[in-house]
Amino acid sequence: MAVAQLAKDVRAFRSARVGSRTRAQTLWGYALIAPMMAGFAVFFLFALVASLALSLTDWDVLAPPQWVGVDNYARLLHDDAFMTALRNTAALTIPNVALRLTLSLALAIALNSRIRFRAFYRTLFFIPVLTMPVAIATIWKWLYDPTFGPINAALGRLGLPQPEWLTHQGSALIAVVIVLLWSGVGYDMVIFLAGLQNIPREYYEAAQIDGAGALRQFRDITLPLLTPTTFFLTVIAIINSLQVFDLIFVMTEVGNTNRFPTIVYYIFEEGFKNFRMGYAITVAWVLLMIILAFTLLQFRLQRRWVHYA
Amino acid sequence: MSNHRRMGSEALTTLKTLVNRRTLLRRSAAGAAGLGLAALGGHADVDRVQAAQDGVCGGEEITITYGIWDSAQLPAVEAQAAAFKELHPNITIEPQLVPWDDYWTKLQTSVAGGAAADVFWLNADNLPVYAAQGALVPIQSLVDDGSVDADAYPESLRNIYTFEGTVYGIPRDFDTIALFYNKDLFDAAGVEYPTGDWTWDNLRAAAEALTVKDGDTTTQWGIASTLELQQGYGNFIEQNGGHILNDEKTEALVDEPAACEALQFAGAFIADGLSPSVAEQQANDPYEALFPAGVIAMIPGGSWNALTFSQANPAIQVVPLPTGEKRASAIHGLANVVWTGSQQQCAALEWVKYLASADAERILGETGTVIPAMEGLQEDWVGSIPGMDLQVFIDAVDYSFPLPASPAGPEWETKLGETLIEGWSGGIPPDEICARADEAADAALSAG
Repeated sequence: MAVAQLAKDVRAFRSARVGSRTRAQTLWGYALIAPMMAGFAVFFLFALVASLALSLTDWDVLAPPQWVGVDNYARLLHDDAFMTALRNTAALTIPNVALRLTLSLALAIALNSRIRFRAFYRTLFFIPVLTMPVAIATIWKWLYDPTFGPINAALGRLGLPQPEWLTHQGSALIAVVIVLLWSGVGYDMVIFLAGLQNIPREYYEAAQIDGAGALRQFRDITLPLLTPTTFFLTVIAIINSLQVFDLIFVMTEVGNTNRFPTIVYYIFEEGFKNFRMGYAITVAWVLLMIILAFTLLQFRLQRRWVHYA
Repeated sequence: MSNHRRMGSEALTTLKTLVNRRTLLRRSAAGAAGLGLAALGGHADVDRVQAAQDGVCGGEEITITYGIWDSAQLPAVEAQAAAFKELHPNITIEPQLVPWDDYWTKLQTSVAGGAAADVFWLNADNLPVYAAQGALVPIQSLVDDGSVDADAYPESLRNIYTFEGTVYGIPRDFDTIALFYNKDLFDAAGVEYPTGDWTWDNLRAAAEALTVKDGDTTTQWGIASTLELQQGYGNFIEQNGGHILNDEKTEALVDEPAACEALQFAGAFIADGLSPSVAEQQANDPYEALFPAGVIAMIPGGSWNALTFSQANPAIQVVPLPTGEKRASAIHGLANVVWTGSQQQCAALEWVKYLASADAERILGETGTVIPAMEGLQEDWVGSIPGMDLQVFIDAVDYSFPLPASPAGPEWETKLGETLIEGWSGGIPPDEICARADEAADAALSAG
């Protein structure tokens, strides 16, 4: 589509059918986006095409790549380690996305009402979003320390079981989701706040006059009018969850191994630790396909449930 | 207006003298000649090295980069660079420090990207991989013509850096493993200090006596059964008469009775609560945090820990590892290697030649952080920490075994460690741990 439009522009531009003023403006347009497009072409497009070619090779980084065709992709189907990473990532994505949207919406609604120190709370919840992920992961790793950490100390005092958080799959999943929520909810909250403030007050007043209670108003006014925001945040949340790496790298490593690998961590491990860069690129492409599939699906479905004002 | 014009012409004159066309031509010609020479060089061109003794390597200013990973050794490296500069004033050494955690990924990407350091540190794990792929310049010729005195180095170390009969690196330093212990904790518990005659039973008994619990939580552990092959369980395996890999490095042998018994001995410390659990070691590194903080009484550790431990707590002492069926201590040392893609191979080889000399090795010993590999130069290091009996590490060379490494890469060790960690944190029934670990390591070795 875009290419056809571009061709049309160029033809129109070349022919005298376009006035000189429009021509100047068109030139300026292309000139101004040229730097970004150049960077995009080199660092993204070229890299994308090159990586696709590399995914069809066996490359140990030190010697030149050797062509193997689709062997890497075939190998992926029988790779237990990849399946584990895939399972972990899925197990992480579902609760993370669901809880993140719910919590951030609740927070946004709460901080949209006339409570005191509203601005302070909004800042407070947003600060984790601004903090470096590695710093967050390091601090939380200490909090989760099974012997000396405050979380287990508190649990112990309450008489509850004190799990070895980051060492076992189940508890590591819970631990990582908690940190993801803590660090991500602020961002979603701010976006939801913007969405909420875009809903005209008159709708609520009209509903109130008609006798609708708070819950009814929420279900029939707030939620439908927030669907564009919800759609955006869902797409972003899914993409981010599927790509989690830094938390995993810092929190769940012990010795030379990782207790809760995700797909991106597996890509890093295969490429940089095991000298199998060609295979790592293959996994990266498979991840791209998965994310693309999810996103396209959501865009397709949006016609059903998203109401644009 | 007139001011601008005056300044403009002044600036122009200055510019003209700086970028004098003649100087520019001369400099670029010299540069091209230098590149041409280096291009002609190809692999270790020893004739060029020998011929260019005065005004070495063409005589013009050369800077070569030297990749290292230990910031504690930077002063020693800089001292070596300064001494080298006096020998060859036209060659400057530029150390490039990349911390251990990032060193290997950075090395891989820089070799792939064609921008690796001219000379860099390499360890045993990675020598077969890099040598097999032709990323290193063989320095066999330096050994053959006597520029480097290979016999001055222990054979077990030299063999680590020989691949398929060709020498790729000269050992720079070595390290062995011994048992560190905290005198204060022993005094408090009334237990006698470890001696060189200890057996596995002594070790176990002391660990039990030195573990202190406060209700359900442990406030002090008797020993750290660490999750590392080199500093931990690898030594136990060899002490019990077992082996980690076979001689051809194609198969893991941890499933054999002797090796398996050793692994169970190491795992029992964790299972019985005498050592920090896997989870605890994941949260706090025993070497960096728990032992220096005085929460563990004994820990098997490499000689490179001696300085930091003694600075953390003067009450920390060291004795040889206990004896199992026999004595064993893992020996390892890193080497300086030259990258095949280096544009300054002549200068790089000169630097490696110097680093292999007695002068350079002596500098290492004097600074006290690592043990120089060259025989006879260890006294400086032994005396560098007066309160600690460092001779223990030198004596360990006599019963040392080299860490095994495979051309298929270090993945087998990761998989082995992964299974042990899984087992020792309760995920695998204890009697299946050895078999599974063996399987995992074999799979990685054959996957190549």
